[in-house]
Amino acid sequence: MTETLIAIIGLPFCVALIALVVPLRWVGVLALLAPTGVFALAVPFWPEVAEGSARIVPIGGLPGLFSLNLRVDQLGIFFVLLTAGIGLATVQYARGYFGSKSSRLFWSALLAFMGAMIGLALADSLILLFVFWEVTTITSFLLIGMHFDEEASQRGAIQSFLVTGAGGLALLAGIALIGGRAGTFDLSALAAQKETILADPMHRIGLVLMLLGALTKSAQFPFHFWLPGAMAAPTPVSAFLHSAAMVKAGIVLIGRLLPVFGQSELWLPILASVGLATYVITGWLALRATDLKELLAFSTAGFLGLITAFYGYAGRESSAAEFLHILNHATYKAALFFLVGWLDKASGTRDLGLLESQRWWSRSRPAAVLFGIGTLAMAGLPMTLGFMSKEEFYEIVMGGKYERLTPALVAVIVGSSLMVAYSLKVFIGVFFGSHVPSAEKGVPPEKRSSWLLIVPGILLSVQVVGGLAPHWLLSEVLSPGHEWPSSPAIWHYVDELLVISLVSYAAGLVLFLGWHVARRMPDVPGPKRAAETLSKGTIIVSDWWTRVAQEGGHPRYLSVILLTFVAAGAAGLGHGRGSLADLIGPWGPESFVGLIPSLMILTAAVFLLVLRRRISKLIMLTVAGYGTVVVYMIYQAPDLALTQILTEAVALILLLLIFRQLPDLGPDPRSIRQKVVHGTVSVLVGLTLAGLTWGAASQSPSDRAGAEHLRLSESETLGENVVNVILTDFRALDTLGEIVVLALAALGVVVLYRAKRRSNRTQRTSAQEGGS
Amino acid sequence: MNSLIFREVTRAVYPAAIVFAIHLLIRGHDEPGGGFVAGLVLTMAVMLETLAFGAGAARRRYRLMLRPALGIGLAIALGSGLVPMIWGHPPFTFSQVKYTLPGDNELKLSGTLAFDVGVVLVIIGSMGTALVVMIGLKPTRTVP
Repeated sequence: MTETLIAIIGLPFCVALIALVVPLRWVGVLALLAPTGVFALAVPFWPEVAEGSARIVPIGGLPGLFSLNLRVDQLGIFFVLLTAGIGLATVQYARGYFGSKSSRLFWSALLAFMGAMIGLALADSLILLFVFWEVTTITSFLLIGMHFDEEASQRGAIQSFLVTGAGGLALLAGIALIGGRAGTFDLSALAAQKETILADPMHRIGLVLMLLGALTKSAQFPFHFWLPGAMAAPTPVSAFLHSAAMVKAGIVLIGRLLPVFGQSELWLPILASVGLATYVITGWLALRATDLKELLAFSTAGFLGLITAFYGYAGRESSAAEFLHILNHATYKAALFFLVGWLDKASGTRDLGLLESQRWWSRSRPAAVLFGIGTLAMAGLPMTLGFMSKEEFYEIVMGGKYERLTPALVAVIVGSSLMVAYSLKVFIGVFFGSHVPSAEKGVPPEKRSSWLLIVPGILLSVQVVGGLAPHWLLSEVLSPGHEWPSSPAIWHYVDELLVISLVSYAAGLVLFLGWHVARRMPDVPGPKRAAETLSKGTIIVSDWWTRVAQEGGHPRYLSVILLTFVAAGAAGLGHGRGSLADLIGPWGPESFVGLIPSLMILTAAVFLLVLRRRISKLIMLTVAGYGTVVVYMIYQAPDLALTQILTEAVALILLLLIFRQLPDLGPDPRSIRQKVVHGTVSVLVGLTLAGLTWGAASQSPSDRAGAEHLRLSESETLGENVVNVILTDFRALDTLGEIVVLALAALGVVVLYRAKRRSNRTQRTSAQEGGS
Repeated sequence: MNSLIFREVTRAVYPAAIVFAIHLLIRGHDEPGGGFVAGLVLTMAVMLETLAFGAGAARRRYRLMLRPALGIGLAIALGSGLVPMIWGHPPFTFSQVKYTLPGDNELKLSGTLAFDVGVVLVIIGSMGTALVVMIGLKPTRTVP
């Protein structure tokens, strides 16, 4: 069981790695292996989980902090199968679409993306879920920005990354808040104690933060603007991104949070209002769009709004229709994207205005039929799965109350009519344009892979089967454990739901005719501008920050490092226990003796500032160092004294060798302002160090940690010198880290030396060439 | 540095420094000393040698020792920490044995000694590498 699950998650990642190294012509075939394998491994789970069983599979993690548990339940396995199924279709389609012009990076990123989506669906631990969540963000960034020499591609990738990345941060904050207060990051454990969580008013902040993550990922209003930008991706990627992955990650998260937060008083209002607003607004934007992919992108955001709203209502009354909605959307939207990809290949354009003059009905009947089924499903007409999905949605929104015209009902009807309108626009615009065919620009038919039509055909067959035999699909396959309220059938008698459907069809037709006559639609300003401002602003801020923090001079770098140290040290001091009075302890064994090395260090420090020769400064530094050695002697720390003596000596010689390379220090070139700034930084660092030293020194050695070390060093390690026992036994890992740093520093010296030698050599050769 | 006295002193001090370093290394677990200090003493010995006999001699002598010492030292330090895992202990759990030898002497063997040997090698390797590189640079006195 555990092994199977790990294989399901690991397989796509493994194939993604292999895809980076094998010859390109094998990669496409190899890529088929991942979704096929995942599908075959996951299918046996389905009958069991479809009955409603759910199991937690412990994986481990960091004991006491968080687990990395997986879970096997209907939602998870459903998404695994969906991702693998659509993934298989995408891979096969992409092989036909790209032909020999694909790249290893594409396949690798696509498969890793698939793996992350699968891991996300199976995670029970929120920590694990978050990790996979971020992997989808990163891989989708790579996929959208695949054509990295095109500006639109870059902009789309950056926008989607900024929006979903920011959402990811909100999600992380929410997870930390909820998990930290509940003491567990496991969704199953959280669901078990949901009463306690909901009783805590703080859960609202955590819930809002987590939903922010989900809504940005699912491109919900007001974050819907990134989705059309992501259209710059190659069409197979768009199809995958919009149907089964990425945007559905937000839906998975909402579905996972439902058992925990479904009863929260914020759940329904947030999800229903955001979802329905998205449904209406993106419907309007889709009706305006002329690029077919852009239209489908808005339509995706719209349907996801419908699913989001559905989950909002699902907190009020349970419903098994979630799988129906998701399956419906995944099949028809992936198929439509695939068909648009075919059309793009065939005609050389995705612009509706141009396509209208080409009248594709007379050129390719199969494509027209497939497009017809896809748009029927999008519009939610009978005989398709889309119809079932819409009806179930109306039902849960109404909750059995049809007599009043609620805002939600109005929104649903308006959104659905818009969907009908733009479905008509797509179908009629592409296939029944008004003009004679113009010159063909696309790829000739014999060069188009027939898979470009076969793959969407297979996907749409699910729509047709679901539309013709809904009872079989829903009650036998999708949710056998669930009683469907109104027995789903092709045709049912006139009821309120059908009335809503008919009203939306009629309104959609009117809207379409209106658009057809007017040809122009008022713009909805805002989102696009917001998106551009966001990406521009981010770049300006990061430019500024880079200039501030990394101007290229040592003083600035040192100041940044030292001030960070001051901040960290001050934070540490602020957290300390005890008052200042506790800190003022005795000065040492004999305060008078302690004065001598102190004077030595102070004098050296003053001279260090005053003297103007490098060598003199270095010697003063060493004097101060040996002053410290005297302090160690007085306070009986022979280990430290020995180390300090040797370090000072070695450092002195090495620095002298380096200083031979440096020019003499002239008069101080710094302005008064620079001097003041540098002085302030120095004083702050000094104060912090003094504070830290004092804080550490005022801890009695018989404190708990100190006493434990003393006790354990004798019994556990047979060592008598506790200082060295700490270094090599208790803290051996720290010591290992230190020597690694030392080794890296030495390698750095070698690398710099070689670089300098090489540049000297090239200078010399170029000088010789110039001379000869 | 071309001084006869310095050279002859170095000749005498060099072996003594190495013996002293080993002494510091071995007693480090119970008395002042240890890998870090022993490594620094060895570094001082190498520095004396280099300063007395020149960069060329030092480079010829240590070329095949210093940089390998870095890697070998890291490997020993890391490996000594991983060995306890064979017996199912957490990493870096060193075990010790103490034998009582005739004549009231004790012999202590500890896994930390292996770790400390690694530390010594890394210190001498890194410091020595930096030294040999820096001493090879020709003094530049040009003001930019």
